[in-house]
Amino acid sequence: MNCRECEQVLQAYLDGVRLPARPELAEHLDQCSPCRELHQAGQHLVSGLQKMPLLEPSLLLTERIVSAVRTQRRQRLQHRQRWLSLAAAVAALVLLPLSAVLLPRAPDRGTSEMAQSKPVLADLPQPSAAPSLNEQVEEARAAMTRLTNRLSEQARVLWEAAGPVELPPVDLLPDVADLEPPLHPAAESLQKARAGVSAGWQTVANSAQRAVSYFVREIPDLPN
Amino acid sequence: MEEEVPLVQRCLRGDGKAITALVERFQTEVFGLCVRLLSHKQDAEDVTQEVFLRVFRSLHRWDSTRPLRPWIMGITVNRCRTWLSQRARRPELVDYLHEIVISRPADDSAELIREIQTALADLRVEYRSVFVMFHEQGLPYEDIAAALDRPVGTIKTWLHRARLEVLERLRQRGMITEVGHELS
Repeated sequence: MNCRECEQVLQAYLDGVRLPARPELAEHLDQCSPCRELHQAGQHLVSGLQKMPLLEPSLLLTERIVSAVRTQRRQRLQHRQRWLSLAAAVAALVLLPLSAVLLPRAPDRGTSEMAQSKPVLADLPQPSAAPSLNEQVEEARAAMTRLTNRLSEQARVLWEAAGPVELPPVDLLPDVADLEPPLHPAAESLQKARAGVSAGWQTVANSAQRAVSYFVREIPDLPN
Repeated sequence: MEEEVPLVQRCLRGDGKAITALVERFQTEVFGLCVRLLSHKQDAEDVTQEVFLRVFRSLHRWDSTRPLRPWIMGITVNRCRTWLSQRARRPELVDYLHEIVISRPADDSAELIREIQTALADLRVEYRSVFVMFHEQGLPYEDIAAALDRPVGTIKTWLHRARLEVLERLRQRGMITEVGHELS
């Protein structure tokens, strides 16, 4: 037996493999001092490892970890909801102008009223019966408001219809222990998501209306 | 003991009792490995908490066809390595010279245990991780390989080298009393 084979026997012993006694091993250890010392150290190592005390964390560590995990789950859920709201708002900003341009203009109540009013205005005796600029601006403002509200409502309906697809993954549902008992976790999460999305859409609609109002106010009154 | 897959599914649903059960099941092993790799009890507790935060954050990505234990131990080793690299950049804050984290045994094995601990602390992180997982936590080669994402052959090589380094230190420190020739 050489030193390499002797080391392999030692590694097998430290692996927990118990080999039968081999005369050639004893003969080699008698002649090779480094291998003999290594084997003796190996026996001490096994003995020492068996006596190594178990390392225990402090008693409060479990509670501390569980508390941190719960906090992390709540923060991730809130973070996800904020991103959903922001994504909905961004989508609205992109889709609303596109919808106004690309969608065919459906005859709505406002336009039909305008169409019906034209013959009436034409029947007026004054030759200068054409609407003034202020009236046209007012009509445009009303039409823009109706269009914005209609698109917002359509988008909200679409979002609600697609809501279950965008549900957060199961692991992000709120902690049952932290919720009121009557509420189902999935229902609670859906309600929060809907509230966030509705708030986002409301903000967009309000912004659009304010922009139109500001635009109208900035136009100076003109003589009729 | 509850099966791993149902326990994980309950954790994913936010079941508080399941979360506590999972932490209690693995925290001693995670903490033990952290202590050995970091040589500091307070750091080990902090990293243990970080490990479980990472575990629960990534639990939905766990491959349920594989055992949970090696996956968690792999996260533990990675967090410890990150912590060690961060600690190396701020050595002036705390004296990390191997805080004694265990009470010494009363018998004459105290010297031997201290020498083993010192030898372990001097090993490189990969060798130390493998040594602790095999000899202190009883993980088989396959689980250690899964935890460290290395081939089994590499794990065996690392463990053999780690043992030789530890044995060499014990030999140099005189831990070689005559015990006979046969290993039994």
